[in-house]
Amino acid sequence: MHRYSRQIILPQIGGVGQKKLQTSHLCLVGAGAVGYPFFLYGSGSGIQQWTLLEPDPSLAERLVKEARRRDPSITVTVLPFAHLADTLNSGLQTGQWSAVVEASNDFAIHHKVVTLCHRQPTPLHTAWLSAGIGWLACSPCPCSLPPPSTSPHRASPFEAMGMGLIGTQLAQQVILTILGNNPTEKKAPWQGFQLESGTFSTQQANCGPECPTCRDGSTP
Amino acid sequence: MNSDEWIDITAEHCPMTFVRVKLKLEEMASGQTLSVRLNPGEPLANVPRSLQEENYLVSPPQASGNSFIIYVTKP
Repeated sequence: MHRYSRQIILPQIGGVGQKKLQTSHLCLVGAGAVGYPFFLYGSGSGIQQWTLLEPDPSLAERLVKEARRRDPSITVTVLPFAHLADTLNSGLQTGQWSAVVEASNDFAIHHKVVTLCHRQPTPLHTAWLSAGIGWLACSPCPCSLPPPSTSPHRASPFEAMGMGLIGTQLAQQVILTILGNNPTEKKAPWQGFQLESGTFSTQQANCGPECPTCRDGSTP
Repeated sequence: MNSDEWIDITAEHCPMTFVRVKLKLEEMASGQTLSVRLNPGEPLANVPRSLQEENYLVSPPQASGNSFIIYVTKP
């Protein structure tokens, strides 16, 4: 309890909120420049159960080692990345996760996860940064994204600093969702990010009545 | 004054003094009263103030041996 005492004091968290954080289970896709700082802040807040999908075994191992070093009560289950779609579908069907967090640097994976998680009851938090601009989104509609073929495939390494910032912002959003207190969820699903100024601004989703999945009028 | 529950935080230090009281109050129902035994000095200065900031009703402290007792009512 000492470890989280400063959080329990906060009226926005309290003992009830801390219990919610400690009993939540996150599925994290990607343990790189966004996923790793996200994990540091997420596990630091008390989230103890993690499922990780990461194509690079060395990045997965780094995260597992960090988890063990931080707190032995943190459990990280690493699942084979080759079966991403099956794993996500199975986890979404059973409702075992409090949220899915997509932090990949590969736009094709980003697109795939958004598509798989669309209209599922488990909230998806996702981030993307490339060429100095990016976004954070809560449960976006896949039609809001540019098609993978016309988008930069991978973010460049020089954007690592911006990615770290996105990772911490992502953690803040996910924590608010777990606490049931995320004002941006559903209402303003996009937070645009400018690397040069380091600022975030609310964006309208590029999704209208002609959208094949959102034309019933609900917010994507 | 009667209380529904009691807690002794004389062995605790900041910030656990307030944390223990807050966790105890979260388990209680609205309208119930908690009796808190606390030390003079920092706990007596800070715990009642923090509770009042979160809209709990706090009675004036009463001396009891080397420590003090306050009664906190959950709104």
